[in-house]
Amino acid sequence: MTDKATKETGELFERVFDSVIAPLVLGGTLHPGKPIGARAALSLCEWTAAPTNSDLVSRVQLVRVRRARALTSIGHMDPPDGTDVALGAVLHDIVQSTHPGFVSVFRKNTPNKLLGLAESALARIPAPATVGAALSRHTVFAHAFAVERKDVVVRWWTGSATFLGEDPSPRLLAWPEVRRVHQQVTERGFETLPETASVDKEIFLRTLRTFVSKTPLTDWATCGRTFPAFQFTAENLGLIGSRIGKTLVLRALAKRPPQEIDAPLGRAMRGLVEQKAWQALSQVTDLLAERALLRAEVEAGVRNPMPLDETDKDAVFARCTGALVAKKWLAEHSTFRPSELRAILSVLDAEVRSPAAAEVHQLFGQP
Amino acid sequence: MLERIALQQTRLRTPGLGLDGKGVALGAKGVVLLPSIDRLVAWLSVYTREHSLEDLMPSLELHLVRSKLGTRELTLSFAAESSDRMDRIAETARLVGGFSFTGTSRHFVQYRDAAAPFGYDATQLLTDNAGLALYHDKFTQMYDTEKSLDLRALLLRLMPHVDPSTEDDTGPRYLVAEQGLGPALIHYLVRSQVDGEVCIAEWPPESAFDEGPVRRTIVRVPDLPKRMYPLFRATPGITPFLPAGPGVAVELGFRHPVALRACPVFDRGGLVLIRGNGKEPWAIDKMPQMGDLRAFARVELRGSDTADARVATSTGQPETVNVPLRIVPSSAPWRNVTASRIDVAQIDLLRRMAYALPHQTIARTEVAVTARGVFLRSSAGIEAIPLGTFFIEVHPGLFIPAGYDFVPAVAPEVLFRALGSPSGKSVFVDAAARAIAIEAASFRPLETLLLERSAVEPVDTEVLPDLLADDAPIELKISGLGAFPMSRAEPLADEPAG
Repeated sequence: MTDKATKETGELFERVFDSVIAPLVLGGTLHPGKPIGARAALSLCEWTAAPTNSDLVSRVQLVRVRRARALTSIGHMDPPDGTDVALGAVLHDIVQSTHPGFVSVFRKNTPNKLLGLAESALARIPAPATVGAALSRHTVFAHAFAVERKDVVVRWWTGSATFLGEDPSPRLLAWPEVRRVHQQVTERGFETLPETASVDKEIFLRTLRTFVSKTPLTDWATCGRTFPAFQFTAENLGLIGSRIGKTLVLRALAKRPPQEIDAPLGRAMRGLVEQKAWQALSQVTDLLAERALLRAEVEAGVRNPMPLDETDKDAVFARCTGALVAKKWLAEHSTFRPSELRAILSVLDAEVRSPAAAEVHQLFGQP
Repeated sequence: MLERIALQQTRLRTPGLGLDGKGVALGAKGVVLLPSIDRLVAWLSVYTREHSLEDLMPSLELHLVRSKLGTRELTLSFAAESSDRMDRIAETARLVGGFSFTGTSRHFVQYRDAAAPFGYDATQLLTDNAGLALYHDKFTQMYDTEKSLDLRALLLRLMPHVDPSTEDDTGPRYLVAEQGLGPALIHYLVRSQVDGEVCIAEWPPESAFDEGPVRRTIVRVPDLPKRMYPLFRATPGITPFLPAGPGVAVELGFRHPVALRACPVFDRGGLVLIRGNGKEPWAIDKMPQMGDLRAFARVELRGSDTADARVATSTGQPETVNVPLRIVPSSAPWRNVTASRIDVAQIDLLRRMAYALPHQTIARTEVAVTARGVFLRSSAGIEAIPLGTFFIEVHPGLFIPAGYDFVPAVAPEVLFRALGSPSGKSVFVDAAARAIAIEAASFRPLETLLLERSAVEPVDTEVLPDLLADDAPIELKISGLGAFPMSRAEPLADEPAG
């Protein structure tokens, strides 16, 4: 790398850290700049120095450690490395592909081209090699899907103007009563950003899915999202392949309400059944069984446990599968006291014998 | 025939075998059985590297023993005393391929090892009349003592190994010069101002053809200059020796296989000089009186026609000489620059410089403000404050300008006395030889004088958790893309653009 290239990479590293990584971790304003591109993003992977803004780094690290401590007992995390920042640069380009400025005759294809660059960069960025690396990456991108844009429509007595992610000019807001100024603010979530842009929604969805597969713990922790819908990938299945990874995933899932989690897991599991990916399916059923046991242990001590919502078939599919496998485990080896075992089995039986569990019985056989 | 002793076992069958405080089987004596003389030398070599034989010597015996089968082996017996000592000896014996035993008179059982931490006991004793019965888990053998070996004789028979690294060893040396070389060696050492002691030793003639006893000069030099090492190594007839312990020295360039310092077998009053290349050692039973080298220097007398001494006819007091003190430029290097004088006009400069001074400098500097200027003093050197005229401290409390010297060149104490030896004052003599005395109490730490008292504004603390909230919203703000938004967004090098 020449001196000039090194200098440019260093500047880009600082820019991405300040404008993307720090807002993702600390909250605040995410202010994307010019598109970065695949080559520059990948050059960040080789950058080994820590960010220079020591005050910002210390605040970012504080929040990251706090996020990590919500899942495991950890006291220190290294600052985001070049690969994390490269992933941040790709996210920057994905967000920029929804820029309203591309909605013009001559720039109509530019967002798709930008997403193509992001995809080619993502193909070269490796998934985390260890559970620790997955945790570290999750602490950076845990809130990546919480990015919101405020769109403001300003109307006054002779006209109106729309500001997408921009603050309206103070001139337009002057004399609100005389000019009968009215503001309508719409908070637009990440999934609705393509609606106001010329980007192809399918390509956007595919790129975002590839992006989230690079941070598998975030993929699990945000599995209740609607866009992109949760799917099982080699990366997120690899994470639950280890005992530590599975524990982290269970803790991350336990942070969300069960009704948010079960439906997407059940939906994704149907995909595995259709593909006849039995090995992957066994990993997922183990995870669901542990969730079912945890839930049963909690609900066994509750006088009136929460009834099973049988309207959502995907959620029932996931819960019933977990309960079925958990019952099988308990039949083979149980360390519970007899009274506890009875209480837990009664909770699991209620789920297994629900009318909506017929599909599961058909797939796995009668309990 | 051996069984392991169990924990808290109290009864043993082997006569003379008891249990020490730790429960380890121990007799009054220990025996190390070694298969050959080279193993014995290896044992001595290894043991003396870490331990001295001094505590073993009173009871140490070496024997050549013969088994019933006619094989000859060596035993090394000693007082066992404690399991600590036995452990040390057994460990060394194991290393060199020997076996260690313990017992009291005739019957010796194998000493403890990793397999039996409390030792062994013999289940069945041999009834033969041999002098020594050794019980081992691999063999049981009777031995008769054939002869005793003398450790000193053994050490003297061992040939030292060639070891050039000893040639550069420092410390005292013995130089042994043949008969004709002695006076020349002594004269050379005296002329070179090398301290040492010398004696003459006599050895009987080596053969009947020799005219008389062989006399050699022995010089003991405590600290031989390094430049002379090659000379004495290379001069035929002079043999340098390096002391290897009390009463013994080994020829330079050789090293004895056993650490002789750990073997107290040589008489401290004598001297054994062990030579290399297979030559027999030179031994002196009792060191003769050694004399100072300078006493043997060559002497010369004045002619007899001159007087013995010239006697003065009268004496008197010298005339009094008083000259004024002068301070003159000097090219001597600056030393002990510990004070400086700053003009009153330069105080503002000192104030500005105070912001750049490191803490150590400020902490060590003392300052006295007078009508003649500001005097700074720092015991660690004042050069860190590059301001004013530097002064060097020529005597405690007496300073003269750096780069100057005083004449007449009397001792600084004399000058201090001439200035009245003011106690509790620092005397500064300037370039015009004017002396200024400042009370030591006037010097105050610069640290306490530097800062002005400033008002402190009380402020309220901010609430930090807001800055670190984990669920703070992330708001996307859009700004203009510019004329060429994709100008920097390049594809990968191996992928086509567009």
